[in-house]
Amino acid sequence: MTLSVPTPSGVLHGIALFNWDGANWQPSGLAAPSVATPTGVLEGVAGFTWNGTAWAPTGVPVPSVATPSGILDGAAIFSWNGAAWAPTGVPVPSVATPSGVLRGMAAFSWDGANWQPAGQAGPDIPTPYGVLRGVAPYTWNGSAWAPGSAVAQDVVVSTTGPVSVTGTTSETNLASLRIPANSMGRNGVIEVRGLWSFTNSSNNKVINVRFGASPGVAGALVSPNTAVSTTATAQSFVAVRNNNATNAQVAFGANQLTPFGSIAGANLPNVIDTTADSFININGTLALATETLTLQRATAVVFYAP
Amino acid sequence: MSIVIATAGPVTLTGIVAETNMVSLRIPGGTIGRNGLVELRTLWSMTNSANAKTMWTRYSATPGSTTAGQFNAQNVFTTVATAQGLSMLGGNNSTSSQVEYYTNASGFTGPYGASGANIGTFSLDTTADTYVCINGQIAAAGEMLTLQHAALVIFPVP
Repeated sequence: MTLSVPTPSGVLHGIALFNWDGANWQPSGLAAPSVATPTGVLEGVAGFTWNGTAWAPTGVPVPSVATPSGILDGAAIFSWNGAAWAPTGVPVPSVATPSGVLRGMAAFSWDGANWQPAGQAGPDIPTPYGVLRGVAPYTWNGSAWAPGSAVAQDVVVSTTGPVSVTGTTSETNLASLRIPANSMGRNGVIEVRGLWSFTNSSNNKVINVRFGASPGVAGALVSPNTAVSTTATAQSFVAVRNNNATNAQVAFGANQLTPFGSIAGANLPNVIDTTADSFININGTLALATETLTLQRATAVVFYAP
Repeated sequence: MSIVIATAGPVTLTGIVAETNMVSLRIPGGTIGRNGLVELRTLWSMTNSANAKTMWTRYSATPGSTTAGQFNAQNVFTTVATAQGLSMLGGNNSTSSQVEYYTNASGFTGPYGASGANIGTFSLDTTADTYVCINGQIAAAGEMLTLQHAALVIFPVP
């Protein structure tokens, strides 16, 4: 038995999704006037995107694409399903939403004031980063559950091969690892691991780490000058911690070859603004210019904490 | 973003005196990158006696290896009950070249400091799966060596 429903555009024999046309509720596809598009006349309503030369109904300009889950007539985000690249959401069951059944997944974006599913309405969900309209993965940010895409992840910055100093007795920068602005938060920590090799002799080879607003031999020491001599290799560790402010840091005052333990000295303070880019500057100084000090590799890991 | 690969409960070695694989932690191919860093943290317990209990960690293209190059120098313990270790290696601007701090003196209990030993090197292809093989050896078969927990943390860097 077919249900007959009177509508502003005629009797609907069946069931359809309705849209508000500005004056009345109309069955989707019947309410809207014919619209000329670069790909033909559109009888209904569709999302439009810029195809590079004109505004066109989403998906229409894209050729059919064979996928493991069938022919895709349009555009989709692809992901690895464990065996092949497939359109995202294909294996996902239908999900009821306030704006209809979502068959798959939708992209969400920040509209400047709220989280919005692309082209759809959703329920309002207050989050630490504003109102989320729709669904997003959540991650614990240290003090609250927040949409995952708004939560900073740990950042890893590394050297790209060995760097040596020789021929000079001046303090020389061997690596400057850029710490992206706002990647620490007010209570985050930067951990720096270094692997070194050097001339095995009685002459001092001095290594240090500075934290500064600019790269090079810049910034205050976050690990004191540490001399090595009659050994051949070393491994070092330094932690720089924000001290409940984005522009106040503290570091352990022991040398970077003995990073854990206790000392009589005070912690090392610093006042770098981490809401802007900052730099871990790893430097070396030779006592004898003809010798060599090599930073084999260094990695800085930034753990975000609000 | 880091990747963590851990054991799923304690593993105990007893009844055999040969070096024996206790756990192999798989590093998925392509996760390290050319300049990434791999850290291994282990926690052990053992029979507190005068007999040697030896821990080996090896980095291998196959799981279960008792012959591949060592991730760090082996540690030998006798009259202690527990131990904790940290060791690391990193890509040397290549997916087929790795370097590590290798100290004979302290193995995984002295991950930081200076040593007379050379930098340790590997030439494994990290675009394919690789394995950190954690092995144990007991001098007296009636004693026990337990790997309570092990975790690999991979910090990928392209």
